[in-house]
Amino acid sequence: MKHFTAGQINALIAPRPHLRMAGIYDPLTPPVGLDRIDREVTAAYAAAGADDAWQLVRYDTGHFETADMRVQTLAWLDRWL
Amino acid sequence: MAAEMEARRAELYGLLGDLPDRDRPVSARTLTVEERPGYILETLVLDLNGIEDVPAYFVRPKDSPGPFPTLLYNHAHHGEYLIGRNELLNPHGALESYADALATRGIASLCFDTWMFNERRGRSGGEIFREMLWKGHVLWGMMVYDSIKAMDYLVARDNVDPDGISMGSTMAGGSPHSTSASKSPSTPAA
Repeated sequence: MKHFTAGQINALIAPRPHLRMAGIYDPLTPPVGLDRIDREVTAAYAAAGADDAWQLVRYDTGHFETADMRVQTLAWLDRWL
Repeated sequence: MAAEMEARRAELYGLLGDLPDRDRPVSARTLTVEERPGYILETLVLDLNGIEDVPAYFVRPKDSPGPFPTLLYNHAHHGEYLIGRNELLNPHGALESYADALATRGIASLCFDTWMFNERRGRSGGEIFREMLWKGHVLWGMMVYDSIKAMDYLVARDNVDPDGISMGSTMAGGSPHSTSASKSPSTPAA
């Protein structure tokens, strides 16, 4: 935590495809934190010329996987693997 | 830019505490191979770290020899230590298991018990944490190291497509996922 933000760690995954999904009611991932991560990682992917390879999707839910997330996950794997 | 990112990846890796050699060989023992309704299930014991055995499941689609695109599935915490790698095989609420969902699409998957979970339990988190500190290790770093070495194991398997490996996780499994994916340049993450 002294050396890296969560956004900076995630930015190091660029340019490889990276899908993140979060529930906005999840206290572990508050929306203001998601905003910050999204800003930093979006910039890193843009700099790497891979804008479409990063996606952060938010859902009106808490800390668990929904049917909507599952569909999105499998579609992402179908697209990139 | 690329050199700067490599330097930051190395810096991140250096913050994980003392780790076993990054290049130490990994190996596996196969305990059983079972045909399940939706897939073939291999129950394995991996040597990822040279310190303790790592029980794992490798799930592959039926009716094809591969090589398969493959997902390294980092299991979640769940607030208890009994589930571990079984999360891969168990339905998620009303959703089908990832083992089934992936095998149906021709994707293989690997899930191993993280330090303290399922078949690696028997000591408290505090006990392991303190023992590791005594030896210069950081529990978090050792978890990430296992995940990186599991990628090495997948790359070495004949029936895994080394260019089609991804890492996935739900809930707490996402944290080691970020750190290890950011350290594994050949690994797409989803």
